[in-house]
Amino acid sequence: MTHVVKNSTILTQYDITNLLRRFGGKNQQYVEIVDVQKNLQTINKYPLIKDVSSSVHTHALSQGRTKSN
Amino acid sequence: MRKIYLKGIKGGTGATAIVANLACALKKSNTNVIVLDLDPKNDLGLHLGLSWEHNTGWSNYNSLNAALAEFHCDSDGVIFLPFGSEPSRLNELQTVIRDCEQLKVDDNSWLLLDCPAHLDLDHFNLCADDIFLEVVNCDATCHSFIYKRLLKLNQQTNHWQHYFLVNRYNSASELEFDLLQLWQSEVPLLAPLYINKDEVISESTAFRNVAVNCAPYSVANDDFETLAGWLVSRATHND
Repeated sequence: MTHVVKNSTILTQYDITNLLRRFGGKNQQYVEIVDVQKNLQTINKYPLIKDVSSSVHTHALSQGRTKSN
Repeated sequence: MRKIYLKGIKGGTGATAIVANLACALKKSNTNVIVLDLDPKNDLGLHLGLSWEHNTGWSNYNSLNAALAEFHCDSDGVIFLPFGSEPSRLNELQTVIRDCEQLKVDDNSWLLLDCPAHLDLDHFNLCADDIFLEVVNCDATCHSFIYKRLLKLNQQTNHWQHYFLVNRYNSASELEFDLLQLWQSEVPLLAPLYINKDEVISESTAFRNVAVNCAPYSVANDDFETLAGWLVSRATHND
């Protein structure tokens, strides 16, 4: 388990799952196909978006992953 | 009573217009809808038919009981309470919200709270039954604020339902298209629907009315009805 450090600027996949569970209401499972390359292109295209992304690091998403909502 | 807080993640995202239009959309299902203007700008009434000259509201009285005469009812039956002209009363938000919750209405009633963008979440005593919609536009500044918000939520001890709601989405904009695609796969707590940019919303305000009345066949009307239906489902999950 990854520990969340107070005032951390890191959002791990565990943190995201935790946020969804605590603030997103009841869980609903669905499968989402994510175009990882397109997301990376968008992030690299806009310097501010890239800056935010490099500071708030999330674990790499793999294609065809399952995301809880 | 089901509470929904709406607040722009920054100023100018169009949160107040959403409050007014959502209130009328929810009212179509014949439930009581009460709207409380918590913003010292006091402009919610402009969307709901209130005269521009009318500048009193709950902030001009010492208690909600004393301010009962300031409740107005628009042509759709939405009951709303303007903020008024005393910005110093902003520190009494929790009191007026708590007093509104004591109003004698049934459990299926909605209380919508139009919150000022500059106040942080600490000003609202949020609990598990509450839904908080943070209104965003598809731009880089909101992208930055969304992640700052996620980091803050990560440190919260309480929890409620918190969603980012995209407003004024323009699919013809390359930036907005790119950002929405990115957010839909990367941003947790993004609401699964968005409000499209539609001139009808601004035009309706100029007519002191809402899109659901001025243009019932518009994209905006569809969006607000979809939003209302989704919120009913989220509130039902809480029950």
